[in-house]
Amino acid sequence: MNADLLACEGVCLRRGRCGTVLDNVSVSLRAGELVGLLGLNGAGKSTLLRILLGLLKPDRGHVLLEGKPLGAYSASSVAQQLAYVPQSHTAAFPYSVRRMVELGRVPHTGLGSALRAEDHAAVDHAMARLGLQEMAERPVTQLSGGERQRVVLARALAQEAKALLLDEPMTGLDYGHQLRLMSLLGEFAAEGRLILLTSHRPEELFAPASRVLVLDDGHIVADGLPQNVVTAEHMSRLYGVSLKQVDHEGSRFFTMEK
Amino acid sequence: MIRNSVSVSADTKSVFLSHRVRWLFPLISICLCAAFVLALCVGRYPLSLLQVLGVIGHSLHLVKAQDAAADAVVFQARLPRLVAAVLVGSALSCGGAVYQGVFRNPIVSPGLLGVLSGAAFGAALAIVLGLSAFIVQLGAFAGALLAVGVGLSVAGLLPEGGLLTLLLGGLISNALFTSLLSLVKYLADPLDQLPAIVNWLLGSLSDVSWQEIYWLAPLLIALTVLLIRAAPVLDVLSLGDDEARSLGVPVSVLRPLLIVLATFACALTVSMAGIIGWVGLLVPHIARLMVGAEHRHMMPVCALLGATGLVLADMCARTLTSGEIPLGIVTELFGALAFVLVLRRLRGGFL
Repeated sequence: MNADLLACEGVCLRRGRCGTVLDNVSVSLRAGELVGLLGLNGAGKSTLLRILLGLLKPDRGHVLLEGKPLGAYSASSVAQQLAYVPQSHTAAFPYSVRRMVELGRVPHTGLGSALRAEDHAAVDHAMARLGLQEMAERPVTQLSGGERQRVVLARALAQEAKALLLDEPMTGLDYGHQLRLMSLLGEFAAEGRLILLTSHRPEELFAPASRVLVLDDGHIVADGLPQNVVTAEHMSRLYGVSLKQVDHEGSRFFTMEK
Repeated sequence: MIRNSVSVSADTKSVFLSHRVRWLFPLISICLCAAFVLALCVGRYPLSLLQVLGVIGHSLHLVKAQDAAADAVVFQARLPRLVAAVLVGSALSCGGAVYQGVFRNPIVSPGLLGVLSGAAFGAALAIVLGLSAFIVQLGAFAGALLAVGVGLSVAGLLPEGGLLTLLLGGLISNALFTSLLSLVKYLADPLDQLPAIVNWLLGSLSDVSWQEIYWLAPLLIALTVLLIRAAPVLDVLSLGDDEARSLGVPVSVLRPLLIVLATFACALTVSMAGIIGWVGLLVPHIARLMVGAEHRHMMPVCALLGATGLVLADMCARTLTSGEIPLGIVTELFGALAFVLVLRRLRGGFL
């Protein structure tokens, strides 16, 4: 297939007295993949995401964007290619939904420049895609968690980046929104974007993901197709509970073994 | 799929808000002019509107000199402090708005990193050392910068960067300079120095001279304009560090830069007028209520409102009693009351 879009090689990070967060992590991700990243709390999932985005510098190793080190790009050209959806967005001020989505154009226009026709088009498109036109003028502080998540996702979409990195996007969403978000992420990947998301629920990744990574104790311990990674054996070892898997019509469920 | 076909704006109230700026801006400008002229008229030596217009006309060489006394009242007593009120009001409001944006917190005021306590200490020290009024002002300015410098350096010493450490640095710097101020007050001569310190701390525009304005006006105007122009940056910075950086914005450069600019502006206002509380906290809120949170719309309105507010507050300070109430007391008094009203209006859309 095509070359790696985003990769990291030999990434190590130590922090304070807690010791190693990431130890010699190498991952390469291609455009069009929908990659799920599983791991325990504190396993370093968010840290790895932040390193891949260039928000955090690793102690050793480097991140490659289209084969070139991240440092070779300017901050705004990285932002034109990588978009970040943080775990929870708390708005400090009641900006309108539209303004929040418009901020996704900052990497393209620079700070303080007026939006051009193409920027407005990208914003309109992103808002339509996430069904936000109706609430365009509502203050983000008055939205529910799910609506806010859609706004941040629309902002990332307006960024027109080749890769979307999402930190636990399902947290705080009701079941319906989780399903809708997952199918939307599937569409984004099918359109040729790279989607990388961290998750706490292996089952939700099984069907939509094209690839699943497992991060344990600072190492990538499994990497491959969901069928091979999201298995009772791997998940039992990762989460420290003995699990039994049930496959049903393309989905896989786990129950605890009694 | 999360797709809806309807594209009608649901919340007409906030549509209204963002479009308000078009007519609100000229309206507040007119209010500022009206407040300015009114403040020229009222005072212990009341002037009629015609007299004030005559004086202004004379200064522009449009009419012949009419009333020498009115001339003196307008040019020597009232005009300098009104010009100062406009400069200080707009700079403090914009400084406050920038602090709130940079710290992502709508209840932050410019005193956060120690500007005010540092200025108070610097001025008090200069008063106790018996130095001239000019040095007292310089002391206030230097103290303000020193305190913010201490706040930022303490934050630098603490582990884990980010906003919380800046807040802690400010807390420590404030505590340090407040205690130093108390020490200076304790050591001051209770008969003349202590009252002078207390008086200075209350804040007033009564001693502003033209010379001061010539010196400080260009700086204050330049800083205020810079802060207003920084509005789009504030929108992004108020998203938080990671989000702003993921949009390619150099947070680690812009945040300290804006803090330094806002601090400079506030320090200059303190050296000109002493400590004028509440303006920097309250005015940005009123501006947000009027035109919405987007800084591009809100900052210019904020500057105008701050100027108008301080012109009116100074007028009250001069006219409410037979003597003069220090301006700082007036702004604290009205500010506290007004803040309750603002918070009541905000309801859900806050924090």
